[in-house]
Amino acid sequence: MKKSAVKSLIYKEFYMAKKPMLIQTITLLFFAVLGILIEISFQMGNLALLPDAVLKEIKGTADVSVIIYPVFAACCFTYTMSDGSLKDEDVAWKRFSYTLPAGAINFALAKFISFLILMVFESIFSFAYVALACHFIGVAFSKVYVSYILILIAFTTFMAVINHTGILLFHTRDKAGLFMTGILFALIFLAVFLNRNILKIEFTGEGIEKAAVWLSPWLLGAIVVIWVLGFLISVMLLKRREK
Amino acid sequence: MEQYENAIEISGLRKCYDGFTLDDISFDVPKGSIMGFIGQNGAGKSTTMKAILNIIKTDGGSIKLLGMDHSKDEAQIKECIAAVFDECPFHDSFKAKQINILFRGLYQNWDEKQFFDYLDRFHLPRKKKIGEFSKGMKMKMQIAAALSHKARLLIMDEPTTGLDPVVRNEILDVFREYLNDENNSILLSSHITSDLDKIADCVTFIDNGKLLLTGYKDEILESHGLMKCSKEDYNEIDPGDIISARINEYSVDIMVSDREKMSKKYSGILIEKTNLEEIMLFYVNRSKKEWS
Repeated sequence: MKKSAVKSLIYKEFYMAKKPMLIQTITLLFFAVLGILIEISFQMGNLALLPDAVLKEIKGTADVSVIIYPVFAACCFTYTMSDGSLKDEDVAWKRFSYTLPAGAINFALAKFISFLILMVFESIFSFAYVALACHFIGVAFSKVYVSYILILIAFTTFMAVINHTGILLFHTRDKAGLFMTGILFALIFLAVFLNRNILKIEFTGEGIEKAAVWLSPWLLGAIVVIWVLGFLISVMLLKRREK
Repeated sequence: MEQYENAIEISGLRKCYDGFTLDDISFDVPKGSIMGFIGQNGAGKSTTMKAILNIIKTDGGSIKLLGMDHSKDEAQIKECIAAVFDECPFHDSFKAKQINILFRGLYQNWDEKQFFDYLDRFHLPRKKKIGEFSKGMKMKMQIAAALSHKARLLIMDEPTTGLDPVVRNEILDVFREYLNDENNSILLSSHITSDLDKIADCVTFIDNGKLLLTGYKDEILESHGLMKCSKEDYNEIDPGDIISARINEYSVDIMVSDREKMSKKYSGILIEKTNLEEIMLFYVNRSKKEWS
């Protein structure tokens, strides 16, 4: 494995993703600003005419929106990076890459180290942003938010890996998208089945918070497993030759 | 790297698809030469090139590049070869700087100065995105990258297709210069026989997955001839001497593989020198024997 080859390929990944990541950053800022404006609106008493019970529920939703939507937008950077594989298919890069003195492991490492770099960035940004947002809103930075961040990072990493795998398998956005949708719906069905029969999580605010806190220690392990499995599958698929 | 006589040695290469088979392809590219790999569209040129570059798995045969097995010694070989395809593999958003950074990490022998010198020579803008380049400019960029890491072997799949004559000549000149170093070799596939007439030392003809002819270009051109005769005279010619015959309205053109021998055997019939394009045409139609 050549370190300089991996470095060059990581550079390529980030260079190709710079425009989509710029768009993602704008999305993130949009959600953050929108959330802050909603929160300011509350703090200025603009919705004071609403009944207290309704106001409390809306406030809770708004607080989550201020915190969660920008964090979700930040976590999507990994998914944005995974789309770079599609650009490789659009030009003749994939075929050309077979002629380069870099093996499948180099290409897969470049992709997954790029994911890792973005996951670290997402984590740092998310924790810093949530801490600031909680201070601004006037709520405690609780372990529930840590759980939400971990859930979002795990989810977007999983989607990025599935998207990348789908592109390597099927070579077009449509088929990769169908593959990803299929996997996602299969997992949703599995989750619903597990919840009905084993977990029995209540879908109330409190119930979701309890479930998130319970789930979060497992998520770190899940993120590692997703990363490693995704890397190994990627190496296997990149080693395949054209027919 | 071991000493080697032939830059490429292909023996019994076989690859099967539904409806097409690359069947028993064997030829060598001598070190220091340009081999023109000729065939019409769909003949199997690209399949052969992909097999050489280990882009596809083969169903039989052996391939050696620079004296090494193309599959077992793949890592070592890839440092010493460069591939150029008809489609530009660089992303549209790349500029020269990005290609330089990328290849600098990939190739141990990457020569940054040489790369930028080639860009200046080809008048390629350094700050323009590849997506804004014309087809000729993209090809020149590929070639600049291919020539900038001291590759011993260039493998090019239809690099001049779709280019105007000025750009094609420019590129062919660069190839001639590349071969000033006798350790360098080129395998160039094309259906533009006029380019190969100008530059190739050796030629290999392929048609419908089968090898028709391979050897030194001058020898092939010298040995082959186009016999022009009347239809009456055509009936007197031994079918075994004919590769194929083009039946015109009042005359017949016959391709023969031994011009000297045929000129003695059929002394009353004019036998002219021929070119690669005609040789290809007549060989492609050899199964029909007579065509028009």
